[in-house]
Amino acid sequence: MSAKSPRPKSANRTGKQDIHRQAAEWFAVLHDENVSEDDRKRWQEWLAADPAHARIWQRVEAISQPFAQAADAASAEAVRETLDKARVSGRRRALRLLGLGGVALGTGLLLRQTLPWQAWLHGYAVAHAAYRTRIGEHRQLKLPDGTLLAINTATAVDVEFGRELRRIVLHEGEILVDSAPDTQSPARPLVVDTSCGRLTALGTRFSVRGGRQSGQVAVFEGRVRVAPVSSGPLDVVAGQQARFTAAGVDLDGRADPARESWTRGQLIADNIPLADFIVELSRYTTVPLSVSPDAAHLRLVGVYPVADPDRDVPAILAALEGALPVRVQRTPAGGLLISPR
Amino acid sequence: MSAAKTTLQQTVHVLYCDHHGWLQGWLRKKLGDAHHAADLAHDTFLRIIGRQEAPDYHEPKAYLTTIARGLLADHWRRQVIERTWLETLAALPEPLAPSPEEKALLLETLCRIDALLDKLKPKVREAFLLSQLDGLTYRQIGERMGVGERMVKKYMAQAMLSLLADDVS
Repeated sequence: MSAKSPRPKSANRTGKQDIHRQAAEWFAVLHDENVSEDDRKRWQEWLAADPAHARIWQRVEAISQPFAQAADAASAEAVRETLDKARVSGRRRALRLLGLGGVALGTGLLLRQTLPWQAWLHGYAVAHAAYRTRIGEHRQLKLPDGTLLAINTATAVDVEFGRELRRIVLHEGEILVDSAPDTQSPARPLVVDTSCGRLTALGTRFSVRGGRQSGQVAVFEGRVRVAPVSSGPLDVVAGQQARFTAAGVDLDGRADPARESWTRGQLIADNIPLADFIVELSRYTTVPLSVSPDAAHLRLVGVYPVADPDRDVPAILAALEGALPVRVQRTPAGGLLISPR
Repeated sequence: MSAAKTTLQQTVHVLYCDHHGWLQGWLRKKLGDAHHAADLAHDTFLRIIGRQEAPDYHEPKAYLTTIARGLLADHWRRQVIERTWLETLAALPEPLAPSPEEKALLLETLCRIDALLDKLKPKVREAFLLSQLDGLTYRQIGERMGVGERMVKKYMAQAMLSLLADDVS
């Protein structure tokens, strides 16, 4: 094979052109029927060596995707015939060479990810995600490889399984991934992409929560490699959780059981300030909830059902009045305020 | 958010406020259709944002029409693909014809593929299609094209390199 893995030392100085060339060579190597286990291993090393490699590879995947889709279709031959019949005219080609024509390749996703500052593009991604849950809704999916994907309240997710990657895109909200070994051999990495970075599952059960600006990962089994968009990766192991932005990852204590319990329709308060609990509870209801400052610090322990938020959220608020010296009052604006009794 | 990006956003915003209506009118004349004109005007601004570089606001109309012309070319190209696709399907024997949903989905895919392949050299394009669409091995492609497997691999790398170079970012 002709692609060379860049030496770690030179990786930072490798130009964009070089990275493109390397990615293109790896693409050619991986689609060769004679690809060896060793090639694959070196490709994985190359991927892990630099977040820029992983980002480029994402684009390689996106570019290959429509071809894979067409090849899988029963009418693949008709697709081929159409392409050949409708060969491109010279004028059009000239336009393209000038960089003027051209459907954005790959398409929307890439645009969205490279432009995190564009709030409305993010809104577009959320609105067009394949799987969306309303406030208070949660659901479970079984992906084609057997991986279980639990989707929490107010979440937008896309799932794209390609030839080289099993890819889940979290636009906003929270998911829990219980990964299965790939049904294809050799196994494709399972990744979760957020606008801040990529998480690679290393045989594992983990939850990811996040939106445009930051994310949080809690690992319950195995290990997850977190690679922020513009900084080096960090492995988070079972029992740990971490926060990440595009700029970096920080470990953030032990994995909070609440980050898993929602898949069973439970909200867990493990000796946390009331204010934090109310922030959490707010994700399940459209009614604005607030805590007065003199009740915010009160600590709460308990397990609360939220399987049916319309019924359960009022019940939880009533239970709070029993567990803590607080009362819940309606505010003139139509929200609910929790204050000391 | 960096200062440069804020400025870009503001520039696009100004460009949009001042010229969106004019651009839509210009497109309507070209297309003879208000709906498509509105879509393409919107896409034009999306494209400008996607470029992540400051738009040329000294010659705003020329700048906008240059981009809009590219999108018009895409639009017309799409119509050619759609017509060819429907003709090809019509010629298929009944049991092989895809369902209506599949037809629409594949048309989308076709347009994306067509746009991608556009800038590839003929041999590179052929090798890439034989591998990615027809599922042939490098050896089979080599035999079909009368070149060695090493050459096929080279074509494949060249194809992906041009596709990456042409990509949005």
